[in-house]
Amino acid sequence: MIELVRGENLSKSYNIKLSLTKSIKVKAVEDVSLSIIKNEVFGLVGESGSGKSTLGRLMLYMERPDSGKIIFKGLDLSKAKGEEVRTARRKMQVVFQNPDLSLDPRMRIYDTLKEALECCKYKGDFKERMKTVMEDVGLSVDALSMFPHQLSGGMKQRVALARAILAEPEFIVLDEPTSALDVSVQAQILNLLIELRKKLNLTYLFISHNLSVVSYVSDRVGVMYLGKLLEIGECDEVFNEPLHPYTKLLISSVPTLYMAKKFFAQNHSGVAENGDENVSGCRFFKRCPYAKDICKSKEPELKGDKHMVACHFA
Amino acid sequence: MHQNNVVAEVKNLKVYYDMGDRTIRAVDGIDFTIREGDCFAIVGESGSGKSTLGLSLIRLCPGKVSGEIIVDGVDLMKLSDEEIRKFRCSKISIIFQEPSSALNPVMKIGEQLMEVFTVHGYSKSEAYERSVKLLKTVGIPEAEKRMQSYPHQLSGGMKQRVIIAMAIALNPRLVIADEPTSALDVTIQAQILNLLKNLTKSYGLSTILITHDMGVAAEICNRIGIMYAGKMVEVGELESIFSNPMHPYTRALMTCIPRGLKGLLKPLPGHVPDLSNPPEGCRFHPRCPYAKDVCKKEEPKPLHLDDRLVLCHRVGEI
Repeated sequence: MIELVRGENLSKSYNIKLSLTKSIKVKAVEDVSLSIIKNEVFGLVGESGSGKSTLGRLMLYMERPDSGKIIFKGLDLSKAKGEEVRTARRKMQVVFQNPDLSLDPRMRIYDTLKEALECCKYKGDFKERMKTVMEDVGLSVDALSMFPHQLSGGMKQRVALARAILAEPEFIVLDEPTSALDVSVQAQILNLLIELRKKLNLTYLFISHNLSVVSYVSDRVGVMYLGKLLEIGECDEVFNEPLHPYTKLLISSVPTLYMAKKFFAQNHSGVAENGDENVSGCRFFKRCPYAKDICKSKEPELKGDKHMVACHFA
Repeated sequence: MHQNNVVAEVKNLKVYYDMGDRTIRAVDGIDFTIREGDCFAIVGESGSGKSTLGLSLIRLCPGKVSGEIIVDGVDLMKLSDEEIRKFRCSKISIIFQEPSSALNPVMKIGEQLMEVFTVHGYSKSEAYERSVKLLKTVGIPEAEKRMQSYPHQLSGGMKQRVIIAMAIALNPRLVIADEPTSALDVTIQAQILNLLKNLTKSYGLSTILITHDMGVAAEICNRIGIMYAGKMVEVGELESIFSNPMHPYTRALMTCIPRGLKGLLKPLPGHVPDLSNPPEGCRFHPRCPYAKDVCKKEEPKPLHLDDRLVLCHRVGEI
């Protein structure tokens, strides 16, 4: 097991202006450490506002952490020089949720890909490379001369994926890559992602709020809640034997076709609230059916060997 | 509960959008009935016409609508604009997907709720009392205080609760919920689905739930209709459809959903056809693994098998 990317004690907060004089600090990610192994798919789940996208961007070093460091293949990106960072980042790519926003509507697919090749200082023949990549993602070469609006949602997401693999990356962050798609197209894209990973030896950080999608593609999975990782483990273990009450709540909330629910609805009340400065204990305290006094006063650490969990009573 | 009382009946409903040079046939000849206490799910991909169907049922659809929509014995298509306005909310109401765009951002929650009552002839004080009661029914804590809140001060789940309160305010017979939980997180979605389920029971409501998520349908519905390219291709009891899907599209939809099993999903090739120029014959034939010559030429006729309706030439053969 070779480690590819590691985030150490990452924190990131944003100032949100409420009015001219008032602003609040939202801690999007707080003291999170995460190590991603070469060739694995690491799934990141959580509700909206849990900080999973921010963590994804931090892992790519797209967003500079307030504190903590990112180590990509042994190189500490926060200490590295500009050129070193740029070289390393060519090996890290990202695919966003909505291809309508991530593709320039006024550029033909050819130009979009060309721009990406120029940015990564590709030395070989551009056209050859584009042809291979288009084949890889299952698009015909004719699509190169089209504009994004001439393509369907699934095809646009394939283009976004093509752009990401152009530079022969090793690590790709997939930020909700199928949320904007219909189920039938979603299945096509998920299968494509699995194929590409085998073929091109990729490592994914797969961010999604959809638990069934994550469990389908991931080897390991992490559960986020209000800026913290609450549970990390092998995908099967986390979904079949969740240790954290929040993970249990999440899993029991997913509507299923097969009505065979393992964890019956427990406490379905409450919402995640961010921006509460005075939280000293466990973040899930207010919604947790098992909460005791210690949960209010002391924040649990992420403990364990392979299956890690941050809960006083797990 | 009177299982057999028919609350709504839709006959040969067609909705066409005139785009100048072409006509989009978003809903093309749909029949179904809703019985009292039913929760009927309409499931389909985007572009299958399910939202258009929902809007046309309450006569809010901008397209050309033809056919019959009979709710509580009244044909909505024959009502004047003034009559339908009274009918809405009191007999039939709708819940939209995005609660933040369904609520007026510059009006207090209370005012918006009270409006439902005052428009239908209640006095202000009575409207206030009923509104507070409603907010409590839909599980909003500190209802009196919330009456004074603006929409932006509430969370997404709370806003959707307010919308639900409005929809059930006048105790309608039929509520149409158009993707009521798609904008919400899973844990909140579970709360809202539970609420809808309980209200359906305690108010004796009948519900039409429009969704793209089979799981959501499975959670609260007892009957389900699968839509594809403007047609209802399969209708039946939830359990029987899930245990024995007959239409190839229903089958395909179900194998597309990841459910924790390893091994590749079987995706459905292609995408929903352009509704201004749908394929001849069965609309699903270009994507159907079982298509034969007859499927390309003739449109399948509805086939009734027990409580099931299927639109496929090859039922029984596949």
